[in-house]
Amino acid sequence: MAHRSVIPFGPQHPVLPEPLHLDLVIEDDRVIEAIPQIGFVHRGLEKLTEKRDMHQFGYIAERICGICAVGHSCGYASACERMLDIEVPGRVQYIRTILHELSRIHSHLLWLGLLADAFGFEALFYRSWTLREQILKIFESTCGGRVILSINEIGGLKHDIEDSELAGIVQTLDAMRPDYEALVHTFLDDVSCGERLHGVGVISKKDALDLSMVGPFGRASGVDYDVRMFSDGAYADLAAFEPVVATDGDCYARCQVRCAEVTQAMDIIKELVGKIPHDGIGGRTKLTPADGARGEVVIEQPRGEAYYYVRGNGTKNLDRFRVRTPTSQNLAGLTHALQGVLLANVPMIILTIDPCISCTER
Amino acid sequence: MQKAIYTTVGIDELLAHVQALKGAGARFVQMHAERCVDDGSYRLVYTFINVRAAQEQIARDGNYAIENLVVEGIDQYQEIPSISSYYPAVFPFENEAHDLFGLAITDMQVDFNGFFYQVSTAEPMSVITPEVKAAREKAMKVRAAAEAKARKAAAEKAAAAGEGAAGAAAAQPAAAAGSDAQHDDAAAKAALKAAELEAKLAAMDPEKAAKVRAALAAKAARDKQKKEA
Repeated sequence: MAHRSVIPFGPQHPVLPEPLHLDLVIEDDRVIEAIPQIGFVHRGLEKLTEKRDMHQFGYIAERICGICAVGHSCGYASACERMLDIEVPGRVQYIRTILHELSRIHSHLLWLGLLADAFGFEALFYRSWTLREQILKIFESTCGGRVILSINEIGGLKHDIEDSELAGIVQTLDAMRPDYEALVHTFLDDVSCGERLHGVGVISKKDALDLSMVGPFGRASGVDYDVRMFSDGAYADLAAFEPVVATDGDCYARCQVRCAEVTQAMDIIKELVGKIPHDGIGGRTKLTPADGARGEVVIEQPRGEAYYYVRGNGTKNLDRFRVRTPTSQNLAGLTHALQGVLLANVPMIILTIDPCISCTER
Repeated sequence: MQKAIYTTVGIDELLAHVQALKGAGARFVQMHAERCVDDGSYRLVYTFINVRAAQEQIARDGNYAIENLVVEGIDQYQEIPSISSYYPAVFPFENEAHDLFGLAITDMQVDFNGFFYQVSTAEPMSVITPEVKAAREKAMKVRAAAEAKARKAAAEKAAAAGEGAAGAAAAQPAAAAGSDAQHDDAAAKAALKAAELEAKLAAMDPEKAAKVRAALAAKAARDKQKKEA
């Protein structure tokens, strides 16, 4: 009988920028079971609603994570607006969506760079992050910040983004396309990349559905679910939207889905910039939620479906704020994907779910 | 457009509802706990989306629903059945409800026995601070004052609307209602003032708050003596 032992993986590990711990039960060099452990840096941000009012908390919600910051800020503002029964102007919805899609591009490019770094393809890592830098420059020129944009507030936006700036964004994205296509070609067609990704960490569609997997992780296993297909806000005005889905369910499929989603996001931005209305940017609203009023939204973050819930108690502070991030939902899928794989493939599989522990430890 | 449906269920009916949702093909979205400031009880909210039904509804009227099962009035030590046999992805949230709220969830498929989060304070999310309680009481008093004001305004409107003999007959009860409303208003104002003071005291350093309380009590005693004299 093979020798069984337990290997601790993380919370500090070269492949993980954030603290995630896994107890890997292995037989020889094959993983039999993986038990995840988080909670090393839990910050208790949900409890902070007691000390910060709804407007102030918007800044904290945005700081839940440095990669999904725009999404968190949009999700929080939308949930509060729903609770307060506020309808924001169309331009606000469009600008939020454009920034959110830009953040999807930067998040996926960051992930592609990390993936290349994990399998030792340093040149590919540099190329991915060089492209990502252009998105960060767009953020900086339009909002003043590279990561934390602080443009959203409950009821609208703090400032407008001029039409000329929006046209500039489209120009930058168009100029990026040839370089991006070359990058995708390397990721998807290079033999050395393919050998590290094909057939690794396979999850079937049935398992993905049973485990309620979300985002590119789920869609790579054939789960035809992307919150954007529900046509909320500016997504309703798109000519068509189809989730990017792959069927192999392995690391390669996850890479394929994210690569295609970057192009899809570029197309969405281009279409929305062409249709953006000029009906104002709303503004700060008086905070008067009814006692027990609730608001909840789901949005498609770069890593998958995220859920935001707020509950008022008649004061300017929230009674409860809840955010469920995609990584929390994908933990069950991660442990499932690790069962039966070679120990050498564990870092690659962990990376392909794109875990964001910062979001999870809100 | 997203809409939310909240269905309140009892603890004993929870699994049956979850089973029905699973059978209908609903996706599990999240589960979270809340603590009610007024009575200290707990509430659990389970969220689901039925993607197929949502798409059909969007095709019909452009709307779709997020379905929530809400379990209200839970005592901290009451046993709550885990739904992880239907939706395994719930395990981080059930362990979170246990570690951060101290809720007793039974039969979890992956149970960390209280070691999912490393917390310095036990059950930190279940703590209701005096500031929160005072702010909540103040909000309730403000609401009571606003309601009293609205009642008074309504009574005045009714009195002004009274005309002729029928109006004169109606004026007497309306005036009585107005007097009641004035009394309510004064009481609500006094209660609001007391709540504001209580909120200020709750936010103060405890030693300073104790000194202020003692000074107020002494002043009240002096005023009472003067009145009696």
